Amino acid sequence: MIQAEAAPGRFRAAWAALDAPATGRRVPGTLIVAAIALIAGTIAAFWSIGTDMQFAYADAQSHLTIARRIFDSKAPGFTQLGTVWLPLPNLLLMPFVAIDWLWATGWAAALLGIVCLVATASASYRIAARIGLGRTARLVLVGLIVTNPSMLYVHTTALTEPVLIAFLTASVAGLASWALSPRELSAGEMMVFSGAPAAGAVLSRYEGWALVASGTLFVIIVAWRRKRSLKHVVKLASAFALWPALGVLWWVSYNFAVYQNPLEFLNGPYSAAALQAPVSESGFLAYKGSVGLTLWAYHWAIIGTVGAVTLAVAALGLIALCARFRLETRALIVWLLATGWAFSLLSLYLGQTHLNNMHTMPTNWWNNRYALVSLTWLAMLCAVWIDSCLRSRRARRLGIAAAVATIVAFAGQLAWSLTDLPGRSAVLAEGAGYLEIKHGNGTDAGARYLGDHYDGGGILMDESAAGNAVLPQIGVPLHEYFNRSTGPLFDEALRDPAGHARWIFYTVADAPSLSSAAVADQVYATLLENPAVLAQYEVVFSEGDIRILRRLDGS
Amino acid sequence: MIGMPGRDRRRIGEILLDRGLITQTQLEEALAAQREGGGQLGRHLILSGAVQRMEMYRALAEQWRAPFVDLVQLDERGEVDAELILTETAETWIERGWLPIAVERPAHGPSWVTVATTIPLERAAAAKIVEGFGVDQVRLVTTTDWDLVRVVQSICRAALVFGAAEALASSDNSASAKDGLNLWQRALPVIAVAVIVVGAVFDPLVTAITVLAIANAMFLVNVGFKVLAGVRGSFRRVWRRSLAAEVHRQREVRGLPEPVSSIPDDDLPIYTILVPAYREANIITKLVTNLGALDYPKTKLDVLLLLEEDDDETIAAVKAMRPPEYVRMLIVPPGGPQTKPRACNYGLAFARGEFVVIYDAEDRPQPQQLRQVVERFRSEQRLENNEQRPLICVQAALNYFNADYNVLTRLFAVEYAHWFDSMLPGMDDWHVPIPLGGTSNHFVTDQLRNLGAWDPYNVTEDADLGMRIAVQGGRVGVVDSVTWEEACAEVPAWVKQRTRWIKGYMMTGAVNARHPVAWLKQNGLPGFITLTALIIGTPLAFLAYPLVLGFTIITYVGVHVIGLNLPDWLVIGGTINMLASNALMIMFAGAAAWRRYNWRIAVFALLNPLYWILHSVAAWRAAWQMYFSPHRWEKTPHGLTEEYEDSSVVAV
Repeated sequence: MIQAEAAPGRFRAAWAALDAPATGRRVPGTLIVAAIALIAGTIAAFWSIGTDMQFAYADAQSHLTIARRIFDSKAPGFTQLGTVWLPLPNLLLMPFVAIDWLWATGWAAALLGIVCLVATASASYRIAARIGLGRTARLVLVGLIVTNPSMLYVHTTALTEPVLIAFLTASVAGLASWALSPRELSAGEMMVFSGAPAAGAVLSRYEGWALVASGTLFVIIVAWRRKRSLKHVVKLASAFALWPALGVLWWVSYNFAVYQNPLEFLNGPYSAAALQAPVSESGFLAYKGSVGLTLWAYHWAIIGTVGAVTLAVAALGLIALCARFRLETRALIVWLLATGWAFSLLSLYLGQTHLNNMHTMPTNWWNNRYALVSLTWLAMLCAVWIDSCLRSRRARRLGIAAAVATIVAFAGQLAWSLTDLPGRSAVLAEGAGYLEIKHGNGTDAGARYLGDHYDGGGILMDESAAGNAVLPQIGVPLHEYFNRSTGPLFDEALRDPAGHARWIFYTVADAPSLSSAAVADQVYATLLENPAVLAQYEVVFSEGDIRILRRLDGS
Repeated sequence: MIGMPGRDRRRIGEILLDRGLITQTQLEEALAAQREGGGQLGRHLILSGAVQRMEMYRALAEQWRAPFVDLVQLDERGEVDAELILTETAETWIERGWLPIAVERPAHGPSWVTVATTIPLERAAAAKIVEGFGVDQVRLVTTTDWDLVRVVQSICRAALVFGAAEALASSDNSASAKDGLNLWQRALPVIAVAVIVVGAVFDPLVTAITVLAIANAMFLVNVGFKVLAGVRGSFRRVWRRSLAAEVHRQREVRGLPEPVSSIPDDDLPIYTILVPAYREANIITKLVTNLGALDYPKTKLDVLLLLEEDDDETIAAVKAMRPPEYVRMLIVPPGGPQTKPRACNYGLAFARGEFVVIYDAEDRPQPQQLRQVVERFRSEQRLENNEQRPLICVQAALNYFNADYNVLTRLFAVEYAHWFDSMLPGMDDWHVPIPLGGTSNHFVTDQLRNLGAWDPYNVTEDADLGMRIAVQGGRVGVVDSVTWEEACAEVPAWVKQRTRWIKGYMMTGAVNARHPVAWLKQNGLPGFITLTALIIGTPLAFLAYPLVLGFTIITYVGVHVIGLNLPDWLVIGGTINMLASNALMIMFAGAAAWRRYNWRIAVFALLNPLYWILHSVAAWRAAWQMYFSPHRWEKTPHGLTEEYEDSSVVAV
């Protein structure tokens, strides 16, 4: 009886919390939002893992592998982090991938993704509360984030966007707390609540580096407005930028220490520039150097991931933001969330990023998930629009009607997406495409075969080759592999496969367009050069492009 | 025979009524308060504001038939014979409550001594006075307790000033930090540095291995001690909780009521609270609110506000705030060293309580703290046996009301939560020497005086006193009560404060290690471990911390740049030591902070490794000062965040 009476009371309190102003450090309602995100993330994880979509992207499997081989490899150590990707997402995966089952099923990534989704949704909500948005606007904001199929899907994989978005949003939430706090917060708090998450973003993806610039600019403006003291400005800007700067410094030092080139990540053989070079030379980066095509390509990616309705309402929200908050600190906070959007556009324009969709040349799905970094900003603009509608004094009824219509449109967009997830989401479409390829070319079957039949002995495999990033799917401990990450051991094994490996896994799909050193299968190339090796092995699996060999002696 | 007049048979209440100074209602209220809380009726009437102190003593003069005199005026006119008063110590006169002010020996007729009293003197006491002064009669005059103190202060000034600063050093110089480091202690670090330099020149490898190994060992010993004490403290907490639950269960099963406080107000002793304050006019006004919240009969509180003579601003602030009658302001005469312990020693001479405690002006002790301490002492007195060292001091936990003010205060709060809530209870269970915290240490007044009180030449007189209690065969216990303090919120001020603390630990270690073998014999192995691992180990660990933290970098540079071939045991051991020690400190400190505050504070334990870098800076400053200014007292500013309050603390 008492419980029956208490439940509505708790619900009322929770409902009230979602509309309560943010005073001090605690923002009422954060836990509720975290719980909602937790539920949404968990449902998405079950769906993704249940449909094998968690392994669709090769990069997702690569991240799981990198995180694991730091401690499970023939050459373990932090140098396994490599230089292709920034290290933090892989480091964060480490405790999860340490458990075999979590690693081999992909739950390791999903768990980290859920944490990131909770962080992103909570931080976004806190920003909205701090800039004074009401309950409906806050709920719309959170709803747009935790019901976005592309967003949810990416958070079930080991792709690095979830970590980036979480740190980016958390850092902006920290800055919002600092900028709007009635009490002057210290430089130390700036370092912990804004600087440290910014450093996390910096070490997750290069979009995070842009946040250092935009965040520092924000701190300079707000600090100057507050005290008009150069000393104060320098102190706080330094406090914000210190950790990210140390992050950058560490990454450059790491590249220098491991590769003797501090800019290895920028111009090395595995860098984005090197991987992009053949595409660029083929003329497929049409938007490079073109403002119009850049905006066109990227915003179609946004429509494909975030949704057309969201983008349209965000445009209205942008107008509302400018009209309502002008250049107030609150407006600057919202603009700060646009950092990822701005960086992505710049990156496309400079040809540093490769992105394809149905409105680019060629027309296929490629890297549209980069648009997800704009989601928090666009959702915040939508929330500003809703809040502005509901606060309209001159045309109250019209405002309410506009808000209701907007919410109905969002609901319609979601319902439309749910009717055909891969058909409505560019990110899911790309994933589904990969899944189809892997089913068709024998990769899935090969991985399953090796996982099921493996009975000991070394495995020679160039897992960096296109299509071979399936080590979690195979599920064999990584210290059994001779692959590129084992350095000289891989070279030795290539020179004498039978002396090292009982199993050989390779792909014969060596498309000429991809035959750069980075993606060509070196094992296959070795076997072509030295076919005598094949005499010592029997072919135990051959389907599509995948071949698996087992040594004949059975030892 | 001895010249004592007969007393007025009327009671003091009746006299005050007759004089029209109080109403019947006020009298009845005061009598009710007296019945409930004990103490003298007069004090209840004064505390309730029914009468002024002067009026009360005039009424008492009428009752005692001893004329009222303005003792201070008499002293100023030279009518008080200082020689008579200087025959005894100031403490003695304060305790007796009366003063001989003149002896007359006329050629003809009886001789007499004039005694100014603040208490009703019985005939037997008067007879003793007559006998003591070798006169025929005693003539009583009445004065107020405040005037008596002022005159004692005035006449015993030189002795009081000397006693406050030099008593310990003059009675037992080996226990005082006055002389600083002795010869071998001063020489040791110089020799160590010289050996390292020479070693680095002739055999860098062996030198590097030795230095790194010693640094790691020092760090490990200190952290190990803190962690083990924390583990013991955790066991104690769990055990006590289980015990309390079982007792509660048994009471329920047997239908017994829950016990109420075992000591009725009437039986509570007078409690002296020393509040040293210097240049704290900004927060001194909070004192009354903070101490007024104590659940202890005000008639039995003896609050001594210790102000320095040159601190006009604070003195003016105190006068302006018109403190209640149980608060006395004592002006400490100028003199060196002008330190908090010197002021406390001065105040101790005027303490009337059976127990004495120090609080800072901004301190907010939990209301039940004094009662809990009295109960702890009383239960120890009941249980005391010859095998256990007597309990001389009880330390309450110190925590911070401004814990989440900024990052520094959070880290400070995490550190204190571990120290006071986890480590000290463990040390209490071990019965090893406990270095006292800056405030909220409760003493048996007489025993504190016998120990020589605080060493004004030691900049952490509290830690030193904790060790001296052990040396003298006593024991320090802890009580489960908190005093909320203000954490230093600014890094430069924090570094100065911590420099003083670490320097004090160095000095305390040096003082106690002057005769290490004798110390070991006297205090046994557990005490010796505390001295080495905690008192000496803490500064050494902080000095060594950069080497430990930077171990990986140092060894990497050493191996790759200088070409040192460090042995695996050192590289692996050092790395594990750095990681494991820091992880353990984070875990234990975080758990303690979570219990005391919440996870929002506790999570900052993760920054402990960085926080210790600040400690290291302070430790190296302290090491420098040990040589060049060992007695320098860098005062910590208070009141910077006085208005701020952690939301988690309010609920406690």
